[in-house]
Amino acid sequence: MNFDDRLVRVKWVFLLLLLVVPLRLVALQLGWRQQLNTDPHNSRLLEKVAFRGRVLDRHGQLLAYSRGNHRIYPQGSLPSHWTGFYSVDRGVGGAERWKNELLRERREENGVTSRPGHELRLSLDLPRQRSLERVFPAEQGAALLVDLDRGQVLAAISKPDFQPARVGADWRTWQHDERAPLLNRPFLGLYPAGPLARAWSWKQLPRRPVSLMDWTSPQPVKGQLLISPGQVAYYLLKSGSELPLSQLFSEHVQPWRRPPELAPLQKCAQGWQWSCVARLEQQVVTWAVALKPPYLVVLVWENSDQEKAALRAAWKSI
Amino acid sequence: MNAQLAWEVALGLFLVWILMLWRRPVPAQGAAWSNEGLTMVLSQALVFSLYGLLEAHVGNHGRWFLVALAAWSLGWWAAYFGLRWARCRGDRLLLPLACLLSGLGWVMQLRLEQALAVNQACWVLVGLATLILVTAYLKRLDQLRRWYGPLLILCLGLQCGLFVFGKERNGAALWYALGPFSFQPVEIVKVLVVCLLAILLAPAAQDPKRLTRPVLAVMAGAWLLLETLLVLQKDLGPALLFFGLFLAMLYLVSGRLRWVLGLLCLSLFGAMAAYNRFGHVRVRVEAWLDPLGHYQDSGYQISEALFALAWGGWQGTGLGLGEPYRIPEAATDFIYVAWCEELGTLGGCLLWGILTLFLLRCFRAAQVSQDPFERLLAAGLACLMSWQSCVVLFGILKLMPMTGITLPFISYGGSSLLSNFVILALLLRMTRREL
Repeated sequence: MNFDDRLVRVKWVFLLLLLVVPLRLVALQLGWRQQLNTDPHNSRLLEKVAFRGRVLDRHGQLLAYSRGNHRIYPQGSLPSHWTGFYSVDRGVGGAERWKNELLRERREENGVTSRPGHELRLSLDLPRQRSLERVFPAEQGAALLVDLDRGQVLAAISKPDFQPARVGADWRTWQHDERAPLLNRPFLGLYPAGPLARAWSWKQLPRRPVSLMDWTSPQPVKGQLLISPGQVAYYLLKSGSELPLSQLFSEHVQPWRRPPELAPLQKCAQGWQWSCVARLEQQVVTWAVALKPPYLVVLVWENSDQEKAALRAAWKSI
Repeated sequence: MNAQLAWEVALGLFLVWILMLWRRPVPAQGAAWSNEGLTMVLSQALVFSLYGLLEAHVGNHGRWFLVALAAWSLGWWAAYFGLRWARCRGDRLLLPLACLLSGLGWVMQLRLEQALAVNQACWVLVGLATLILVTAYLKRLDQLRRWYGPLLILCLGLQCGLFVFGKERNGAALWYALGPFSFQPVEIVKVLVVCLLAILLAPAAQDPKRLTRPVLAVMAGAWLLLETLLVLQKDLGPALLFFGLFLAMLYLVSGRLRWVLGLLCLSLFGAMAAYNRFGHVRVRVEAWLDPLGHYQDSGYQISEALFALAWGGWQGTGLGLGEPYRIPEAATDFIYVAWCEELGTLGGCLLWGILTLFLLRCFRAAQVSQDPFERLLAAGLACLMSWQSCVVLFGILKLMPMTGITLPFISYGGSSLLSNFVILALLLRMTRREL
């Protein structure tokens, strides 16, 4: 056997070795693809932000949408506690979290092809939210506007608020901020009710705060009743049965039926305005509640009992 | 997506075109429009249209990359005419095939990391200049035989110098650093080793009686020395590469299958010893056997490569639309996987076809050559490139433990590209009379 024959042999050996490559590729697609595409380690299964659904207010104004790998919040901090935030590093909050299953990208049967997530329309009324923010100049506090006829929250303000788009950059600052900008005050902020509870003499009020979300509250301090603006609205709407927060928030769920207990309460409180100052140790809280059917407004100022003038100005515009 | 399928069909037609030219005689000297020029035009058109596809899918690459691509293209045309200037009418398919491989690799690097693509374009230009210089200077490859001593010293100096001047990266000192540039000497050493072996063994290849014991002893000594050096430097890829190269050369020269099989058995013991002795060998074998089970540490690379392959499926996600950035070392060792994710198994098979045709053409250069030294040199270079492709492709497809080597002309890497151009220059020089 001479050199030429040996060269041909070596060439064939390498060709056969190389032929293994396409066979392997095909075999991998046929035999292993499904398992690999559903493996829990596969980071390609993580949600693609580009396919996340949009969030709109009741008039169809854009509150959150995706562009490329970024989540855009065109209204800035105004509805920040409604939309919440979305961040690959920091997770989700607000409606982004609460309706995550609805918003997130969907996958085709093959598990690879992405389809856009659903659109979420909130009960938020953006013009009313803006005007409520204008009449509520508190640096710290919460404001809530509820439509009692429809049982929907039209506007909710939590101060201080945050820029949802900056969740990645500012997270640590927010975490260490004593004023807790991430706290959703209208629903999760607990304030001493003080004379507010006595003024209504709600015998049915339990001696502990009732949660509106899947959330457990801290124990009330020294027997003081702690209550959130959302709970005040909730008791005015209907006391007793648990009202899911989604019903207050959204239009998607079943139509609202006016609870029977509401009618007499509403009658007696026709055009009623009430305000009080509650104290809990160092914390001073100014409450303001107004019921102008069909709207209910609940305002809370934190750490200020010298804002009566602002309060009165707010009343006039409401 | 349809545009991509059309592009892949065009690539397939190009493969058919190459096969049609495979044995066709060369047109008469002085023909204005030779097949080589046409093939160059076709391969560059494929590269430009792939870039267009990337722009259509992603479209955020600035105008500068078009300039870089134009420079890349002009560089290849300069090489095409430079070879004529150097009076080197070599094989007419090697240059267009290498051009296509480098172009496809370049577009993939641009898609993976734009900064790399600029570097790579510069390296291609440097490599093409080297190609012209080597072909212009080495009129006859016989000249190499006179440089046995200097080449040997250069070879040993480069590899041993790593112990003193080597720059450490990823736990192994395998690079020389010169300001912003780094250089991996083993890439040049492997070409030098093929040259030295060819010089040493050329008489024996002609006449088996001249395969004397001293020659074999020198070969075995060089082999052991190289393997020891590489194992000490923890550079497993080149160690494996040289092992296959020496085996192939030994078989080519001696024709004794028993020796080859015996050495293979011996190497199995050696591999087991390495497995028991060295932690980093054990880690790689574990990662190979069960990458998903070792996802958190050693199996991470291979797992991500497998995920990418499965994600791409038959047709691929579309160039620029997949997520190959999740694969570590996507631009160097794993570029074929990144390609397969975005262009699918179909595109992967087509790229494999081009690479295989290029490698077969290298073997053909050895077959058509007349001079025994040149034949052995060409055969050695062809074996080197083929074995290198096998090792890296098998590694990334989980057919054997992963060792970090580059894919010829496709992967990112300056020194590897430079050595590929030197190999191309040698092959073009020795096919000058034939094709």
